[in-house]
Amino acid sequence: MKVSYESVAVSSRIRLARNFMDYPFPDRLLKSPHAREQASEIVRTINEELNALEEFELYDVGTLTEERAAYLVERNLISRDLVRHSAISAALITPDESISVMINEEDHIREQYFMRGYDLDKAYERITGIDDVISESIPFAFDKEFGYLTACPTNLGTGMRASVMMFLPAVSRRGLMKRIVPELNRLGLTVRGTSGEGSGAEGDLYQVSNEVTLGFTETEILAAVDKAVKLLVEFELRERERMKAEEGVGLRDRVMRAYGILANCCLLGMKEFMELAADLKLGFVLGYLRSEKEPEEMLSELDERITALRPANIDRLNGRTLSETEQYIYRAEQVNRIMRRMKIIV
Amino acid sequence: MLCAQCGKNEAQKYIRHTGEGGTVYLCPDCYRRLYGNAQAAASRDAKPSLKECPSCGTTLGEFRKTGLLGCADCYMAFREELLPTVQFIQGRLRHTGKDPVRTLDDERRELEAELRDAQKTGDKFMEQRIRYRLSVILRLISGGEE
Repeated sequence: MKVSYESVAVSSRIRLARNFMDYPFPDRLLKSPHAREQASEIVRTINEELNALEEFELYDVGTLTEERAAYLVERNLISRDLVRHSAISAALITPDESISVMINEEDHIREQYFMRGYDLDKAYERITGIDDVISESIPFAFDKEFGYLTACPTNLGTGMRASVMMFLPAVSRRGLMKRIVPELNRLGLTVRGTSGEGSGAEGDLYQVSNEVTLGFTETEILAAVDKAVKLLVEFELRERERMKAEEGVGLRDRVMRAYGILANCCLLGMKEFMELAADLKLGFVLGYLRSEKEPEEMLSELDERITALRPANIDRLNGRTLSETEQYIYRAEQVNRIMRRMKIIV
Repeated sequence: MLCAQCGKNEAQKYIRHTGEGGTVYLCPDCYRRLYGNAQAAASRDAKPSLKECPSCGTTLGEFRKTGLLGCADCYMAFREELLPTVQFIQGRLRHTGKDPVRTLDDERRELEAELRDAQKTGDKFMEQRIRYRLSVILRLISGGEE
């Protein structure tokens, strides 16, 4: 069975933090009596530059409904911090949702590129191109020693965070994360659960990213993350084989039960969905389950469905706010249908 | 993981680039007790935390509380106090990554031309604004080369 990198390293994201030289940073800007005017100057300038380059949709966070904001947060297009700054914040997002530029979050500009699969070089090339365009007309806060100046010194220098989402069911279920985390820290990297800092890992998904941003070139940082990702991929693939050999029928039972529930349940909460989906994904990568598509494609499809079935996404699809029970019913029906459409062979 | 010092509270990971270096697993309280004191005491003795950024009014005390600077100029105003913090967080003190396309010198030249125009037309408000921006740029330019 073909198992590629992308059954482990499932998506890549790079973000650059930038600031204008002559406006207070957003948290300070909020306290200014001229916050609104200054913020709209910032938003207007970036919007003009980016839309001259390609199509970006402008979201003025202050005028978004709570539901719409939650929808964008669930899709990782904006952050909770951006919503917290709604009096001054905005976002520019491409129609394919691959590029999101948050304005007035912790820094004036947070440019990020997201892609499914693993290709940090491509991600960097794309976002640095956007960065250069903005940089041609906006004098960024920058000094030769500290590089790009950011509201928090943890982002100084390159202002770059390169992160890779990793599906690590074998390593995490076999209790090996605690062995890996210090190793990665030693390489200047951090590992987080998917819901951000301090969180546990939902659905066996972990985010690996660089910790240090100053004193290394972008290429060096990307190489360090790449090295760690490769080590982790190899480790996870090895552990998957071990897990399969050692746990045998117990593991297969777990995968089949997950499939059974997802195909037939009538009520489904988000947490349970995440857990069962992780079992199902494990089934695909271990070869217990098959479909017409490659395992990596199934993983990617399932991840997209998970996002689309989060609460605010469901509300948006339905055009109204559903009660929790209605949400559970809707999610279960959709998942039953997805399972049928995937034509899974056991 | 539990704190390596007290063994009671949940530990966090801290990377130390100074002193003996390496990674330590401590709870925030023990961490502050073991490593925070020297740094905090040094800065307390040197300057009261009332030191203020001339551009945005952020005080050093506010930065210590929130961890956030108020504007680009804060990096000049608090440079001396920031150096150990940046060294601690980042381990290195010299940017080697990419530079902005539009350099501070480009901006300075343009602003100087704008200033001359404003002086010719007698637009006092514009002149004041340009002077302010120029002063920030000049500090940024010199700050990076100290």
